[in-house]
Amino acid sequence: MKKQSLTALKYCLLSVLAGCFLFPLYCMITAALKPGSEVFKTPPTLIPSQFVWSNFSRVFTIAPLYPRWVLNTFIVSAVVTVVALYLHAMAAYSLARLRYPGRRVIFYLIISTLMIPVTSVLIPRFVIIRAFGWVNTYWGLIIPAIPHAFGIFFLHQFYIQLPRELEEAAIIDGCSPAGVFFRIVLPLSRSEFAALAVFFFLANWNSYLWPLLVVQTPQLKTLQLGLAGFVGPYDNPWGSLMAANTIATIPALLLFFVLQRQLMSSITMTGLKG
Amino acid sequence: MSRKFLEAFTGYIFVLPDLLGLFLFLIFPAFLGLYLGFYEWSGVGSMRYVGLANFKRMFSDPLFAGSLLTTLKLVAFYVPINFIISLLLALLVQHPSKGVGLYRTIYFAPVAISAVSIGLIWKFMCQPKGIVNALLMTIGIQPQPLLGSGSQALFILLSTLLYQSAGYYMVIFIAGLNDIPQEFYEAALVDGAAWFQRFRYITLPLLKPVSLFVLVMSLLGGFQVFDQIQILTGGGPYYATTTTVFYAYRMAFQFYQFGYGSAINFVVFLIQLLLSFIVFKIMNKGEV
Repeated sequence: MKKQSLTALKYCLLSVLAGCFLFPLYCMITAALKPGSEVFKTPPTLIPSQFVWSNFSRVFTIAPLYPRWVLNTFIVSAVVTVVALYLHAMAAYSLARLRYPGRRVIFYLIISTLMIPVTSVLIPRFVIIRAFGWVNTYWGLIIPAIPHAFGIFFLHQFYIQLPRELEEAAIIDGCSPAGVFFRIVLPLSRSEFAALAVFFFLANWNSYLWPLLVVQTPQLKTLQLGLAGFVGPYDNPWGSLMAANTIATIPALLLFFVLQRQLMSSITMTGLKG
Repeated sequence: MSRKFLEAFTGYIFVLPDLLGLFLFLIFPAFLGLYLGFYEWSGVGSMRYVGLANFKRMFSDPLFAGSLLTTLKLVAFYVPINFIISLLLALLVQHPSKGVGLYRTIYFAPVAISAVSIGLIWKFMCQPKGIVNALLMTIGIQPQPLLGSGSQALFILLSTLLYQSAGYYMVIFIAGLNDIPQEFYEAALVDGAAWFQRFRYITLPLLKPVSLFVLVMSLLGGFQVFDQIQILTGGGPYYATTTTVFYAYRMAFQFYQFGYGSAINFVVFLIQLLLSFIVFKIMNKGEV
């Protein structure tokens, strides 16, 4: 009996906490659906008195470039994710399995970059990409976002515990080191790739600070930049802004719901073996 | 070509692109940042060597001192509160039972939402006539200035950070809790240890490596906040939410003082390293 009431208490606590976590999102979505006169009404209406969809359609008339921003963000996130996965897998495999002079030094050099926060090197990094002529280009958005020791480390931990037998069989069959990697090891990395992919994609989809420095024209803006600079119409500024915000958040949340298990495993790996 | 040579060759080729990228966009910038710290430079045109002037200026710049204090205040609240909330969430949803998976998903979901989106939602809720004040009024509290007040704005900023990171660190704690062998708990139960005793003498000590990781990561995370500040407060009111990273950003990209901005970032980088080291030392000495 005591145990039952304890369980009930636990579920109460869980639900209250869940309410706290969902409430801001609920506020965003309902504000996007409310008529302008109701957004700041006291006492607040929990359920919109009438559902207004015009806030959503107005997003695209106020910011005609909105679809372009979504496309830009998608291109940047997808390219960074795919290229980073291949490069990190190659680097990780090289460091975990192939033997050559200087390997350990390179490994520790790469791991030590985990200690350098991006915000600390923001100014010199900007100076560098400007010297390359990458300001206001896709290059400037994409290339600096790719190198990341975390992905290399994550895959390295996977490759060192991979049983060697499969690779050895391929080597006896006359497969080159690169061939072993591309034909044997890469197909085995699928679930690790999924874990990293969702991590990279979300990080880039939500990235704001670096694009803020690189982008200078509205056409190249990413979604987060567009959202940050979004100004709603005078009669219902917050309704349209929250509609724009909802549209920007939905793809990330959908991806999250489908792949949350993979996302969890990538976070867990870094947390425990890090 | 011998197999050994081919292996070494492939090894270098495979590691080269990432190594080059890391060098170009992290390692080299770290040194370039220190170098720029010794110069006065508007970002374009000629650079003037000024020795330690930028570093000396930090000591006499009240705005820098203020930003450092703001950062330390933010971190001093963020690190322990984040630790408690995420550990509490992890303990609540650690064991899979009916419906718990759903709660876990809900707590974890804000990880997927951008800091910009969350900043905008909080800004909306904290408008003078927004939902926060409306709720305060229904429980009989006068409407508050919220983002218009320095100390309240800092706490609102803090709450956005907690909202986003609690679920992230919860996942790390869950993994840590699941790694604790079940036998310890069974033995303690036989000995008649109460819940709190089990928590104090089994869970906490065995969770120490994970706790250390969470403390250091959230400490570093607290120093690097930018997006939320830019969206929510723009550093205001009256610099109340201007952290060192935000201050350095404004120095470089709004006031075109690339040298001074770089110097600040370098010093703050050293402070972060020092603080992480101190946390590490305390945790390894203390019994927790």
